[in-house]
Amino acid sequence: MSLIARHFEAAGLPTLILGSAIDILEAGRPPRATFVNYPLGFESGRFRDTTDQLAVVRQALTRFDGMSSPGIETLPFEWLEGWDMINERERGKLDQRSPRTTEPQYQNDADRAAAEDGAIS
Amino acid sequence: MTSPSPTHYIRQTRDNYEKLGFEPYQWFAADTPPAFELPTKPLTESRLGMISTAGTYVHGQVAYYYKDDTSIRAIPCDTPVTDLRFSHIMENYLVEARQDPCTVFPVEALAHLKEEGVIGDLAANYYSCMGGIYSQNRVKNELIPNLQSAIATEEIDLLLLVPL
Repeated sequence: MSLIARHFEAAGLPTLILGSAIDILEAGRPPRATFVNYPLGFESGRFRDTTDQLAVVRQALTRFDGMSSPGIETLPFEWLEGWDMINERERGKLDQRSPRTTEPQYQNDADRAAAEDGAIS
Repeated sequence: MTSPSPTHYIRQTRDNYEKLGFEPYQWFAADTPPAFELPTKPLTESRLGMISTAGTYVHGQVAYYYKDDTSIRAIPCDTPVTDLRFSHIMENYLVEARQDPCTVFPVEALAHLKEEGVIGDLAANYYSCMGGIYSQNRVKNELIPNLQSAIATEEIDLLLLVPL
């Protein structure tokens, strides 16, 4: 994502990454980023928690007006229960990737049917 | 109660792949400082766009594939949350997002903040891609031009980027 951010910023469009992988952000040196220490998959807030989602996005967006030089700012959110949930699920798994294929990978069969019917071009 | 220390995904992935005898994954590492553009007006007067790399698509659209898919999808900003889907090579990170898309694709929060007046306006369309592309050249030469052309039509002042 940092490659994309750097491209648009260089083209004159201010960008802000809302990310949860601090080392990947640091390596990519994006123009402007916020880090929320939640597991991957929850970058914009906790599961089924609209209050938390709104708070995370609201705080992140303040950095558009609030940052005057490139950097990564940590947002003050914690979620131990979320980490417990993910750590339990992923324990001992070394490679989480799905098979690399050039066939579209639909979330469910109804999606495949709708796409193949051309519901949205 | 505190959160654990931030996870070091690059080291974790390298160590795991080494145990499996796989080639190391090459994360992007910048060797120059980024450009930095100050907003020309406050958020309250700005039109905001969004790009997600979570492989977001809308029910009815063609899903992403998992081998270096550099295509993009336009996601209308008023898409019902119940029509949002995800296809990404790291779908293990999307178990909850497939039940509550707003954990990685914050359409509801953005709509709320526009309603409140915190954000001036929202792009007609957000955009997505499938972030698990193994070739940085293909990101630069295919994906980014696709996104550039699409974003150029949205007349936005600010761009929010939400990776998976």
